[in-house]
Amino acid sequence: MNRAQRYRVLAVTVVFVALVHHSAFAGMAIPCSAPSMFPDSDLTVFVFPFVDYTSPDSSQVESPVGTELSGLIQTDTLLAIGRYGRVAAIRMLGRPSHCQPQEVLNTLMEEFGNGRRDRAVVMVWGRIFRAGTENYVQSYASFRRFVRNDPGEMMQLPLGDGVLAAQLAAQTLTFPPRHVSDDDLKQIRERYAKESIVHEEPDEQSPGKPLLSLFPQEHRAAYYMTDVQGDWIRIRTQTGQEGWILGRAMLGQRSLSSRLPEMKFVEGVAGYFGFRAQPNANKAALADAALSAFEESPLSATAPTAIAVSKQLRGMLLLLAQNQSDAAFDKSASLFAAAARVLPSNSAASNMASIVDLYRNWKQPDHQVDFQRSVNLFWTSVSANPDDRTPLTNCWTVFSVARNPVFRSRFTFDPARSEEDLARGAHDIEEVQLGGKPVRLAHANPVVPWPMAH
Amino acid sequence: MTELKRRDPWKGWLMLCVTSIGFSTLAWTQGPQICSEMNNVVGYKILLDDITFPSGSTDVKEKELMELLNFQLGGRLQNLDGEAALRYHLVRCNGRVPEGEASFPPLTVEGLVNRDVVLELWGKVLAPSTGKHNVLLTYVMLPLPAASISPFLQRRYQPNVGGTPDEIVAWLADLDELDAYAKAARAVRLLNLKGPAAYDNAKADLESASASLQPAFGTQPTASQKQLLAFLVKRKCEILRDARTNTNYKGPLRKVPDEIVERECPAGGGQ
Repeated sequence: MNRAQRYRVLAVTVVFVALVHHSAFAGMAIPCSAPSMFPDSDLTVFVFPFVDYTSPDSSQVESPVGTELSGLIQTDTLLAIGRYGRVAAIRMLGRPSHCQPQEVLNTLMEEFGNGRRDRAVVMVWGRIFRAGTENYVQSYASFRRFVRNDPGEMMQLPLGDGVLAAQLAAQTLTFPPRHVSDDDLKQIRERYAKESIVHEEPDEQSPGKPLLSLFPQEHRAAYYMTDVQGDWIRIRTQTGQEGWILGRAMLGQRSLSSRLPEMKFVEGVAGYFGFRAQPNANKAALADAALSAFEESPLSATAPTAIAVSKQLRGMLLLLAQNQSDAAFDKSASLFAAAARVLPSNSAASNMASIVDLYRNWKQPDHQVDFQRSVNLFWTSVSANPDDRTPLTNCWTVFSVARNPVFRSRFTFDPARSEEDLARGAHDIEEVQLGGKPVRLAHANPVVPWPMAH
Repeated sequence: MTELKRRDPWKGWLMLCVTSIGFSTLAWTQGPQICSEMNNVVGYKILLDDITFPSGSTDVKEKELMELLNFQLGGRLQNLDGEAALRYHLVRCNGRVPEGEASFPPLTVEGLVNRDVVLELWGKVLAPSTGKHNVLLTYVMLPLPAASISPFLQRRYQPNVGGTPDEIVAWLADLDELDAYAKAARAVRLLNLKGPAAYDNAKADLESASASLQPAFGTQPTASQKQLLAFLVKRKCEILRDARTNTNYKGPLRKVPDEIVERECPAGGGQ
């Protein structure tokens, strides 16, 4: 697609987006070679075609099964995330060589990157392998703010005149292989054909026509949703037509997410971003339920990084939904500690557990904080990954706050530490080099700052 | 004449380098099957050779298992995050099947190391016995110091014969220690190349490898597994201890308190 054509696509999209500005959630199928999005959405989930690695040849072309699977995931995701506010799920189409998630993201950033900085994207891609009548699926997911150089999601807690910060254990995840049989896929195909039919009523027996026939340009099927009734979604197309499509895909008696529990993870991540955009207790509960369902799936046991991130996100949602109350800190502390246990060598996981542990005590005015224990927690994270600047900065913050006469009495010191000892400790950290350069002891600024409790 | 004299040492070095690369290339090309694909990839590499099954076998399930294993290894060994300069890349070496340690004479190892290969692995699906498949994967971690630890590690996996697809998937999902071998080797490579300047990255790699391999090896590791675990702890502790006194190292490990060091590396342990 040349530049003029791309601008035409963009213009159509912008006009459509202007029309649907107040819509809740939206879907679109678009070629990877000319990616587009709804620039006003708080969150956009991009689902790429799954590449068929059954043979070297099959991995070079667009796989019918992989494409259908991604279509199904997009449909299911859109239905699941619709409750989180202004969200969109976009199904990407094209050959594997065109559908490289990072390249598509770069192109999108060029075209749409100058909008609101608090928008977020989730990218889902994957591979399939066909063995006899069985199919094996492996998915990947990555989530971030839609800005260049996103420092990642961050928790920030005040400590005296300083700030403690923590990041998630990972924002790009590899999920374990899953099994989906030919029979399951047959049902997916049949179901997909049914879902692609836009009915006049939320009833499979009511008159309907194929979704794609409603659009003047095939593969540029843009629509937004105006209502949900059970598994049925009411849509309004770019061309102004309305109707109902069947959402939630079923495999046998089970939903697609029971075979691919990572879809629950994606739903939970979408909920986190939806909550951050427009906080609402119901959104937090829905996101927590989705993440819990992911963690509880027997198939998730071999995805420790995703489980740790899921627990961290649940802890963050819990804190925010309950206005960072004492009770919320008590409950969430066990989630952060569990995340750290799941990933014992991950400095970000142990660091997040440590700042919550420290802050829980600190926010109680009559409690004193054990200085040595606190700095040792951060040193443990530093030792696990010396390149991680965040726990090192937290350690330095504790030294700096403890040597401030205003806050000194908030700490206990065993062994005893003089002001000079503390000053020397802080100075020692300031002299550290990372990557051959003097360390910059300041936390990165997250795109969406962690709110203060009120 | 003066100018000629000044150039002589360089000529000598140049000849030595050319000869060395020549021998190294020759040794590599004399291996079981060249893997020219690795020359097209920049950065650290994992070579994934063939997973074979018994010649003449017509067991469809064994062939499927072999192909599935290839699929799983290909997906699992993609290094998606981390610093770009340290990221490793998977290179498929179709048709290459080393015959064990004999296929890795010193010059071959040198050739692989010079090409930034940190891990090579291949496998065999053997005839089933007592109701179990026999899958052997051999990992070569480059350049683990052969004088103190074997860079070769063979792992035997035994999924059930006639297992359901869900059981096979569960078995594949359990192969989560794969990138630990790459991280262990990358740590050693970084230390060899950069010394104390690599302590921070190497320590993180060794921690991660150690945390993955301990549960993967279970409560009764074999002698070679114990040896690898002990090697990882030893290198971690060497870094931690040397970082405190080595004036060439300026990173944060220099300041780690005694009690953390003692907890990670108890006296008498990690030596």
